[in-house]
Formats: sequence, structure tokens, C-alpha cells
Amino acid sequence: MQALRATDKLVLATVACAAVVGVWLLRHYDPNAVGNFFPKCIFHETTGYWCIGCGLTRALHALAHGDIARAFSMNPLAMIVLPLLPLMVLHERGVRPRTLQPMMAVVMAPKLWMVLLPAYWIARNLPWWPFSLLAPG
Amino acid sequence: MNTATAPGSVPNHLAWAIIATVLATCLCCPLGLLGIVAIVQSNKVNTLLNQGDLEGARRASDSAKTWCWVATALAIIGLVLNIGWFAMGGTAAYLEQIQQMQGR
Repeated sequence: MQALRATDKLVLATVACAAVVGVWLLRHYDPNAVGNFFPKCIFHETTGYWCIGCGLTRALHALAHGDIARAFSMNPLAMIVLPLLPLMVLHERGVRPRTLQPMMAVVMAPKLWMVLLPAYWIARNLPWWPFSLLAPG
Repeated sequence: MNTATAPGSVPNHLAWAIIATVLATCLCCPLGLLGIVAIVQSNKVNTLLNQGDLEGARRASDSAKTWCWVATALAIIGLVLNIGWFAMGGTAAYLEQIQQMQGR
């Protein structure tokens, strides 16, 4: 494994700071409360439809309180992608454990995301079960 | 296949593209869709590498990076807009303003 580059260290430090601040904020303030200061989804505010990131703050809030089931009910795809992203970044950096190889081969195909993200977007807004499970709440 | 055109030898910036797309979509409304372009370019990197087109793959990689920056910028703009919106009093203050204007 090669040594970390200067920009990598900077990014890592920024992410770590953001994570600490984010967890602190989510432990002390509730994005479910009326008039909270967490950024809202502009797409949802203007159109009333769910976007792919809708429910992310509430999911992270649930996660910061250890409620994984609730986190999944708020934004299931985000909860799946969240642990994958560090692995994907490491993969791009050349850290490729053999045991993860079959999974990474699927996940690192951009075509998957080209289909999955728009499909998820539409599916969340369908009012019928099981699609309604994808919407926040 | 020689090592130069092996998969992954040219970065496709996929992880960045996904993060930026999701955040930009949420924070900056449908404009965030532009992030999809980054993912499409990212896909082109892999396709061109498979065809052995190293030069083309590098160009697609640069293009993917550019679109990643666009999506990242949109996410940041969206975040700033949100903070500004809240600082000005949010939706309640906005509605009040409209009612005042209609009252005249």
C-alpha cells in the first residue's frame, strides 16, 4: 500500500471533522422537529416529490442514535451506499482485498449507477407497496 | 491485454461522481442531475479501456472529473442557499412577506 498523498490526508481530515461535527449536531438537534436548521431538499420543497437523497438527514439522525431499522426506512439506498463508498474510494486508490473482489466488480461498474439512481428516483415516488417502502418514513 | 489498458489503470472517479450527484440532487434540485453526466463519462472510461483506447479513456476520465466538480459546486451552492434561506427566517418569514405584499 502506497503512502497517503497530501491531498488524501486533507480530504481525510475534512471528512473526519465533518463526521464529528455532524454526529454532534444530530445527537443534539432533531431533523424531525418543525423549523429545524438542517438543510432541506430543495427539490422536495418545490415539487413535493422525493429525490434520491430525501430522508438522508433523518436517516443519519437515526444512525447517530443507533436506530438502524429507522435509518433504513428513511433512505434505504443511502444506507446501502454509505458503507460502500469508503470501499469504492479505497478501490480507486488501489486497495483491493481479494475477498471483496466479486462485490467490487459489480459495484465499480458505472452502468449500475446510471440505471440504479434514476430508477430509485422514480420508484420512491410510486405510491404503491413495495415502492412506498423506499420513500422516507 | 497489456497493463496500460487494464481495468482501473485510468481513474473513473466513480465514488466521487455518486457522492456529488446525490448531494447535488438533494441540495440543489434537479440541476443535480448533471451529476449523472459524470457517471456516464465514468462509464465511458471503462468501455474505452476495454476497447484498448487509452487516449480516449484518459479524455473520458478528465471529462468525468470536470463533471464531478460541476456536481460538487452545485452541492455547495445548494448548501449555501439552504443556509441563507434559514438565516432569512425560512418558509414562515417568506409566507409572511407575501401576505404583507398582498395586503397592500
